[in-house]
Amino acid sequence: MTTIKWAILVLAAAILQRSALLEVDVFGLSGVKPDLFLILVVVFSLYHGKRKGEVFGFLAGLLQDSLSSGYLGVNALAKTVVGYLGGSWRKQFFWRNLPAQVLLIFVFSIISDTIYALLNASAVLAQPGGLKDAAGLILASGAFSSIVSPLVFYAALKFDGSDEKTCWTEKKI
Amino acid sequence: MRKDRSFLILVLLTAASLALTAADRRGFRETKVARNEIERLASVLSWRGSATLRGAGNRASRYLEIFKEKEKKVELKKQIKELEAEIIGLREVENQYDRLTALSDFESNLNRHEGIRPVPARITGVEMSNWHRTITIDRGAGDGVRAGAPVVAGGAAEGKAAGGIVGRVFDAGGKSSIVLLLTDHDSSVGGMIQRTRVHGIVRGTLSGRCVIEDISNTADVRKGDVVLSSGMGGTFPKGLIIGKVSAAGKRRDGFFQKIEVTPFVDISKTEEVIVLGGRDDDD
Repeated sequence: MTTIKWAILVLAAAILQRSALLEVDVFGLSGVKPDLFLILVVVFSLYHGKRKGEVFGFLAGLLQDSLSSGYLGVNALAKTVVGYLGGSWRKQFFWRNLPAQVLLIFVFSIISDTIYALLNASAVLAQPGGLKDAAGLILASGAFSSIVSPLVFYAALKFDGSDEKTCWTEKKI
Repeated sequence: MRKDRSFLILVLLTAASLALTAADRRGFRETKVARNEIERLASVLSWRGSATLRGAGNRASRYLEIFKEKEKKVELKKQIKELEAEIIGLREVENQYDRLTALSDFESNLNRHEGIRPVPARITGVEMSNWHRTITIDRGAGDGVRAGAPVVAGGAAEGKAAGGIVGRVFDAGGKSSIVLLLTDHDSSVGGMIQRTRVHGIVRGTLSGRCVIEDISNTADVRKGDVVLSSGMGGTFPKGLIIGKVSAAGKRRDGFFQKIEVTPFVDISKTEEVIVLGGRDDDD
């Protein structure tokens, strides 16, 4: 049941991410959007551990690659690493409050985008001002993802029906 | 032991990801076919998904209206709303008519002058990541769309129907295609300043903006100058509108100017495009 629920969430994220609804022009960059897949991978891995988290990250990243014009496997790798790292924090209690969740998404977004940029280093460095633009893009994407993350956290945890105690759920462990 | 196993899975998945990247870079047919199929499915889902969301939203608001409907005043309000919705619907039809007329005028101009076979298409999705600028359209190889074909959108420039460059087809699947936008960092188009006929290369950047390169410091380029396709390189026909110069300045550290171009076509406000599928004499 959990698998079906999360598959539905990923599909919903894909539909949203493919629409122009979430695009904003910020810091001199145009059409920046939050990475909903990343937020879902982080939430999933925090709740289901690193083994499930990394597999979920790999599959979600693969889907993201398939729907993107970049090379196949790049997002899969980035999201696998995020799933593994996210799952490593499962037993820590500090992330169960809102500011920590927002900060975690920002950090994981930077990790994910840095992996993406490193795997596309030749294309990034070939651009005029490529390094500066890439850094701006990584920071803007991280900031935007962390701003929308509370909504995704809330929706995902309600949908998941998780029984763990967080700022979003009242039930005891 | 448990910890080691999750690390082992991480290593295996990393290796699988890198193998996929390597295969895709080499252009393996299997990865391309799989991507096209997933893309086709996603296009259908996106279209159906947004239609379902719209439908569900409309239905929910209609039920709310019925529950609140106790007095005549409410009934009248509802009627007003319906009329407003009708007006909005008619405006939408009018807007669509204008857009399609502009597209049609531009399409017939192309047919008459260039011998190019245009394929009208609807935009069904935009790029998912921040690193690329692409759109998905609902026409593919089965409709005559070829990889590398130029994509334009109709619009009005100085009162006349005109075509602005959107980008070029990056990958043509069976029933849908991915279009690399002018603003993508992998995109480059031969351009020229309309006023002075100075040639350069218009490129996209990671920031989602366009620049025109290889124009010397001595050339006369001003803010507001119109940039057209030069026809160099053979992909885009000569004379299509690329955009307008939004900033121009001389570099102290080189021979070339730093010129920013704002694309003529605002993709966030565009719903239909034309793929210049192929020239008739190709057949």
